[in-house]
Amino acid sequence: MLWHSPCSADHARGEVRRRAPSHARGIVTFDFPHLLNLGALICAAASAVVLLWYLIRRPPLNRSTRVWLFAGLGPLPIAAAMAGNVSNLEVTKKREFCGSCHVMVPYTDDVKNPESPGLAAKHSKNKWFGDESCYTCHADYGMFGLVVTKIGGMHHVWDYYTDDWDAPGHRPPKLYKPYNNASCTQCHASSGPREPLEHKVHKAGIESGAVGCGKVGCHGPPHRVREHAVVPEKVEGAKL
Amino acid sequence: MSESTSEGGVTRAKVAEHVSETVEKRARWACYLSLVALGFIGWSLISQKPLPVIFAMTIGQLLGTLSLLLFLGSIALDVRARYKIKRTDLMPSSLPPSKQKD
Ligand code: HEC
Ligand code: HEC
Ligand code: HEC
Repeated sequence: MLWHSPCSADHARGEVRRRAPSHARGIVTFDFPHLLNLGALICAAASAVVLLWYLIRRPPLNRSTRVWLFAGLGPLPIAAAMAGNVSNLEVTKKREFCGSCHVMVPYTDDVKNPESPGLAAKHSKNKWFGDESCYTCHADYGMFGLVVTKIGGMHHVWDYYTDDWDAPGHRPPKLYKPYNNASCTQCHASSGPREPLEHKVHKAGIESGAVGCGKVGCHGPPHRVREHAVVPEKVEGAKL
Repeated sequence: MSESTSEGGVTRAKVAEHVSETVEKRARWACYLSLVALGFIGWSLISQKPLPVIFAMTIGQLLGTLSLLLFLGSIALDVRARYKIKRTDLMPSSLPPSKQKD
């Protein structure tokens, strides 16, 4: 009951519209990743046209051909790659993206369910970050934060493709390391005039991480997926 | 190749031909590599799913970078060779002996 008030949903909607970030849908009608995506595709296509023209027509490699080839091998694909990276990185934060691996689908389904009482579901309804709620709460997870440097984040992908998650009785996904309370406190100061007694009692534990905010008995369980503890059969089109 | 009758001229023409063949071959390879890279990038843009995205951001970028380097390298090779040929025009004796024999 930190920020909750009965009318918060409607009220928040009005609020958010005015200070909407680029990814809030329906406000800026064309959305940024899609535009970038389109731009990247156009650059890639232009580059491919130049390269194919060279390969098929085989013009002499004179100065103007070189300039064309340079454009087709340098600026155009670089622009495509950079716009593509930004757009792809945006997409990897989306809930649907997390759900593209069927192991994650019970979690994404749970937060989609308006009836779900889970903490994650409650955090997935607002327009500010609801769309990216998984990533927001699991940010240090940073799977694609910076692909090349955070190779460690590829752990999930590796686990996904090297393990048969459909095998009967396979264990459900579990955290690699205890959940970091700092993810919660980045948004919730957790202290203040209405600070509940529990927070005061467990202050040291919360700060050290010994008491997890998302644990049962505190604000957990965050995900109401235990009925899916054994991952159900493959969800159509979910894999890859 | 108007000077192909002169002894040094034959050598230079051959060298020049060899160089331009190499350069063209490398430029073509750069194009092939880049097309593959663009394929990966395009795939990730059309289907923004884990695997395409990973491929685009790793193999795609690697191949794309290599293709540009290959192309720039081949142009550098060409420029250097032309410069050398021009210089040997002024100083024919400076061509390596083995090549002068051809
Ligand atoms: C309110 C923040 C929050 C949101 C939103 C959230 N999670 Fe979690 N998630 C948690 C916490 C906290 C835990 C760890 C609970 C614990 O300490 O055992 C957790 C645990 C997990 C686990 C480990 C297995 C388990 O059940 O404990 C997975 C997998 C997971 N989350 C996936 C997701 C996915 C996918 C989404 C998006 C649909 C998501 N989470 C959204 C807070 C969140
Ligand atoms: C490539 C498929 C795939 C995608 C995409 C994916 N996951 Fe997972 N995820 C897995 C697998 C497999 C596990 C199980 C790891 C284990 O238990 O060994 C897992 C485990 C987790 C866990 C628990 C392990 C940990 O501590 O990190 C969290 C949290 C999680 N995923 C969140 C997310 C979020 C958030 C997203 C979207 C940004 C996401 N996942 C997208 C495959 C995926
Ligand atoms: C990105 C910011 C953000 C993060 C991270 C975050 N929260 Fe929240 N939390 C909110 C917002 C905003 C609300 C109000 C949601 C609403 O009512 O629409 C909320 C609501 C809550 C509520 C009240 C839910 C109810 O019953 O109405 C609790 C409890 C809570 N958060 C706990 C947590 C815990 C525990 C974590 C870490 C696992 C966490 N939050 C992570 C922003 C965040």
